[in-house]
Amino acid sequence: MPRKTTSPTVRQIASIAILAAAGVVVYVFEGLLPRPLPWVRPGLANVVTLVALELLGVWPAAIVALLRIVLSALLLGTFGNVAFLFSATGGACALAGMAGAHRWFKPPLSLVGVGLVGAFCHATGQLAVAWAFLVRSTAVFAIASSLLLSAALAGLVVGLAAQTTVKGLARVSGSPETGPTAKG
Amino acid sequence: MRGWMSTLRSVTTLADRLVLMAILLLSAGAALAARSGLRPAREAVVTIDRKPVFSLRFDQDGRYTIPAPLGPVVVQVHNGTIRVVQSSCPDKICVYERPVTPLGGVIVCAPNRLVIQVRRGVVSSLDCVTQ
Repeated sequence: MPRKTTSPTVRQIASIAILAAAGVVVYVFEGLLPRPLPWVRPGLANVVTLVALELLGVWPAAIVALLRIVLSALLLGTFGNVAFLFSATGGACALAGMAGAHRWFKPPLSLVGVGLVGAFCHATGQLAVAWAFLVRSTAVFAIASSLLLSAALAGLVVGLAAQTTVKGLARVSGSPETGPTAKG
Repeated sequence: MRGWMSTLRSVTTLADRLVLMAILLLSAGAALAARSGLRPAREAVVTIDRKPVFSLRFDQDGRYTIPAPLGPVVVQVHNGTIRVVQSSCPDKICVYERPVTPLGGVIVCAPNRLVIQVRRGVVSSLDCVTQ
């Protein structure tokens, strides 16, 4: 009788590795965009977390996010400093928000909505770090405004990119498509 | 714009668009909160050689004579604005400078090393942020 195992398959491990590598590339590219504070990012790299969440599940997505955050910090030389704190908090909040939205609110949300929730959580987490370590005054609202605006745009981009990626991968691998599930 | 909107509509659900609207509204709310956070200052401070020597309240009209290195500088508070009306400096640039108001502004009299600027209650602990 075959033994039931919960260890990840080679396919899962390879998918996690590819997604984490893609996430590092997006993270480095994102660093070139203008931002309200140097370490604060709109969270475009969450696209790989969202794809992992949709295709592989919550824990593989968490591994992808963790690998992406640690590898990009090592690559950029920011491991352990404030930039890493921003990145880790934003990534963790985005993962938590997207996992919750994906688990309980999809449908009515599509991947775009889940991406938007993730971007919002990403921005809120980073604002909390900014409040705790940098700007403890009303100036944080000025940052919040521009950060939330960029989060809305980033969430849209992340959601649309993830949706397109998942659809493309589904077409290649022959698994069922994912897209907007509720009529709007 | 219409084409862009219809594309957005075709790839998102109603709930997605509601989430997007909520984030945009929060962003606008934060912008308004930041605007109202810029409260007008109550007083201005006069410094000579970067040392504060005099405080001026915007709500107390009057003329004040400040002893400066080159001689007296007369400052006038009138209708919530502060300006220099007489100065011991050679060029009198400070006399023609734009008045300081509760929302901001600065008057510099370089020969006297005198600066007048608003004093804010809440000051960020950071001067600048570098990467």
